[in-house]
Amino acid sequence: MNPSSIPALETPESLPFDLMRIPGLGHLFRWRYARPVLQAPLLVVSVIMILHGLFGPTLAPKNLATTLSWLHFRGVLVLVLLCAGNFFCLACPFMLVRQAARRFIKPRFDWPRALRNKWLSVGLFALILFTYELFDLWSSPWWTAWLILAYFFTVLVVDGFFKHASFCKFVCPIGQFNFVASALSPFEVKVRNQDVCTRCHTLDCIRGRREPGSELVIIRGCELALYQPRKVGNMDCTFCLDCVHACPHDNVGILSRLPGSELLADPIRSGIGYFSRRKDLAALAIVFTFGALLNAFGMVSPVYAVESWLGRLLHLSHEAPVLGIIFAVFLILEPVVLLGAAAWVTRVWAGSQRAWLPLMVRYTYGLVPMGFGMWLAHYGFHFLTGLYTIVPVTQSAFANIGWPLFGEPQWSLTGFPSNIVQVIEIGFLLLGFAGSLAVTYGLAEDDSPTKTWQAFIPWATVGLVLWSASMWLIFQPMEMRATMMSG
Amino acid sequence: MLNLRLSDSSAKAITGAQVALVGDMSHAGMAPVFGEANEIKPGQYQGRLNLAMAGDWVILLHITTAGGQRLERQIDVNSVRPN
Repeated sequence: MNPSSIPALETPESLPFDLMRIPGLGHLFRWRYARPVLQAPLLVVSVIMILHGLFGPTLAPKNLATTLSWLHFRGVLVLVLLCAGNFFCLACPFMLVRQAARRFIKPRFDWPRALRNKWLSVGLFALILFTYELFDLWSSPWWTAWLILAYFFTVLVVDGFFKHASFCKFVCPIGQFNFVASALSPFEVKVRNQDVCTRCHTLDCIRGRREPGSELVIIRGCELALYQPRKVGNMDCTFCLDCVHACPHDNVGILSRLPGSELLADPIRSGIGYFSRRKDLAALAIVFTFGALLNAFGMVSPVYAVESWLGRLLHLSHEAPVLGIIFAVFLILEPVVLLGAAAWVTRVWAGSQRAWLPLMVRYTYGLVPMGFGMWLAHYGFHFLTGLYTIVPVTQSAFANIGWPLFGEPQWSLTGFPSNIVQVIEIGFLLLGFAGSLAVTYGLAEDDSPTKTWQAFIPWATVGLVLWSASMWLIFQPMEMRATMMSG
Repeated sequence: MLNLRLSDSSAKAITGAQVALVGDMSHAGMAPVFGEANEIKPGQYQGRLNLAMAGDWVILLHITTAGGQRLERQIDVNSVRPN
């Protein structure tokens, strides 16, 4: 018998690793109240941040709102996304408050059909990046506290009126960030055995488990319209584990996979459709990728020179319009020029049959790893260089309310030396670049089997441009000013 | 280099005070810098802080007068440029 004709045996080693199989962890995740238990500590921390932001020291390095938001939360978030998955959405404190409110307020409306896409959240994502720079949120505990409060308020309003997880799926900018970044995560909530789903007639994972003999839902199904057997990848998955709890066959796990693999294929995805037909998702990937560079650009010296030059050129003395122009250039003009040119070259050189815009949409997802590499480098830098600052800030917060439980603040505690962190940053950028090359090559191979390199090279060039810009950025002298237009 | 003149409400020089300096950046995560200012003339104090990074700084003065009174003052130093 020809050995190649023997079907591969599925040994336990060849099966994906399932986080739910870890003793203790699996038990916790299967527990119906796992989510509130994980959310409660973050809710407490959020309340402390709001109170300290509003009533504590006005200096950002001395305040828990700014230190926890802009150093620790962002750093932990991207590292968890890189090493595991979208576990922040699982432990999201906003959803705990929403859930409590829904005991009293039952939403009556469906989310408007016209808004069932990512355009609103793409705009909000860009708006958050814009207000972060305009109002220097990183330097203002007060504004940071109000941002958190505004988030809670918006969640309650949106999910108070609209059914299911409308806020998560269509509004939340942090959630969209997590959805895109988790394409590079090594774990995915997924069915273990498709055959079990084929035989299943109750569809509890999407419809919710009902009380026997009644229509009353006792364990809800996926609120984000992801039908497990046809779910592909992490897009729109909040890791809420509702499907895990609802499945009567214990057939949903948190399975390992090759990070980024979901970007390589373009199957129809439950609750999503085809990636290649979703211009709104491509726009989200663009804001995610180019916004990563823009957000880092806002903290280095050259941005002030650019702002001053633009201000003089256009006779503008207010920051908002100047910043608006910079955002338009980075988030609209630059992507259109770079991606548009790459799509045009691909059509001409590789003879791709796709039209210009669909080609651009398809390959945009290939840049997501590069964007994630930049977010990791940027947020990782702040997190690691300021890792221990949480100690003196907490000591100070307790001392200020008359409970010096942890002693005198040790203000000299900071974090890793920046020269060591810079090596880690370079590693993240290389990882992101390699990921983008791998994904774009895979897409090119799929699109143009006979002219793979001709289809790949234009997009690899875009990746190289972004990587070079990212490398240039991390070697720029850091400069954080709350007074951009001062000269 | 920081030059300070300390005086009371009647403009009389405050002598013999201890002045500790703490420099913080306007954003979280950066190490504060510490120093102290010494009296070089009656009521005039001079100290040095190494503001190692460009950007906005906030300098906190922790002053203890000869009589034991404690004061705190904040000075915003914006747009620090590298040498």
